[in-house]
Amino acid sequence: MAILLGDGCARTLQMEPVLEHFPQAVLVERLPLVAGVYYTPEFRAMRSGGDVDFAVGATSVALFNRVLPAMFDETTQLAGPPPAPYREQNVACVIVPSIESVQTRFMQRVRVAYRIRVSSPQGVELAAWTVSGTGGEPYSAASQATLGEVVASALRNAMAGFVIGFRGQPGVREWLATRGLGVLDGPAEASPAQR
Amino acid sequence: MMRWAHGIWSLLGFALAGCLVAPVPVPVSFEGVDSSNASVSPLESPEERVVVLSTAMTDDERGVADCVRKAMREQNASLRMVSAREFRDALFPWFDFQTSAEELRAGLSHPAVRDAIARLNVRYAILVNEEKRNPKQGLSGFVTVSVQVWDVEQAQDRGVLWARASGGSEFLGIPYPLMIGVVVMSFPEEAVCRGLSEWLGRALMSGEH
Repeated sequence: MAILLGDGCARTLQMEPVLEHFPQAVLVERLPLVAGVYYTPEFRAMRSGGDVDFAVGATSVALFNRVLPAMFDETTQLAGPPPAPYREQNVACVIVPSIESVQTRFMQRVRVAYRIRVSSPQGVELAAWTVSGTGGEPYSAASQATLGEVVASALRNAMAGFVIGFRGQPGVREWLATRGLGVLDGPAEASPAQR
Repeated sequence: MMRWAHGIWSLLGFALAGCLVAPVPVPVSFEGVDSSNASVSPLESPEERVVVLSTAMTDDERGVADCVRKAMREQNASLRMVSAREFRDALFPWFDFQTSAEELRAGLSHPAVRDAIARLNVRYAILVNEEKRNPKQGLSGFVTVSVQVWDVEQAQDRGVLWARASGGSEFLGIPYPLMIGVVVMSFPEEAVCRGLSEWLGRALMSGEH
């Protein structure tokens, strides 16, 4: 999927093909809320480093921008962290993802872990948790998959975990309950993922 | 190409290098399929389809999952299957993450998910979990594969099958610098794959376990 560039010990991956192959629809119940998302400059610019080098930050921003519109009625990118002067935008919560770690092992196994922080617009933390995705599991699979597929799988796996696990976080669940929104009730919508 | 093919190439390499190493195939110790925790009813129409997924996520077209998929197809020409990639893309994110049974059941109850399953006409999702070997010595050890069967049409977990076999490759002889001896070789993955695909084929096509 991804293109290998360079030679020697470290491999640099071009991530655009990974984004092209990301699913077009995210089948999840959409919350009738406006969510803000703030990507720190460090998050946007982060590279994995190590023996498999790829733009993990920029790719993650693109992937979050695809899944978040499927999870909320409206999503807005914020210019700064909470608390910030965007209360007038009717933002119900602010999501700030960061990359906790990127682990590569012998160019055959990649694990990407995100730290997700959800807070009120005023900056009160509602929930924080880690979600990770792994590409290239057992020996017989990883050794045969291309490196690009392994990275793509790790990122996709982590995004799936984020989408599925969001409402299950105790802090998120309690916050939703205060707004009269239960967990996993109501009809799901097929939401076209957006770039 | 499956993992165990590497052993054959290694042997060829030794042979070309002038070492006296002979491959000796030996039978696999296959412990059979444990289906005591599974209840799978046969497909109700020839139009219903099946998808075989690997929990490893990256090896849609490789490994034991692929072996099971191909063997089921070979053994049951009329069995209709959906590719893992098509199924995962249509149902993202529900089969891209190792969701709990509770989460998966909740996900499968949503109308959009049910619509996607209906469009694909998939009745069963078979999740193949290939566990690592426990090496005793060399490359020998156990291969354990568990298969979780989901009736995605009914949003019901139909239980888990287990299969285990032991074998692998092991050098017996005088090692470096002489490299004289034999390599006993067996392919437990193939035995597990064959056992599981036969069980699943029987269960899905005729209801016989």
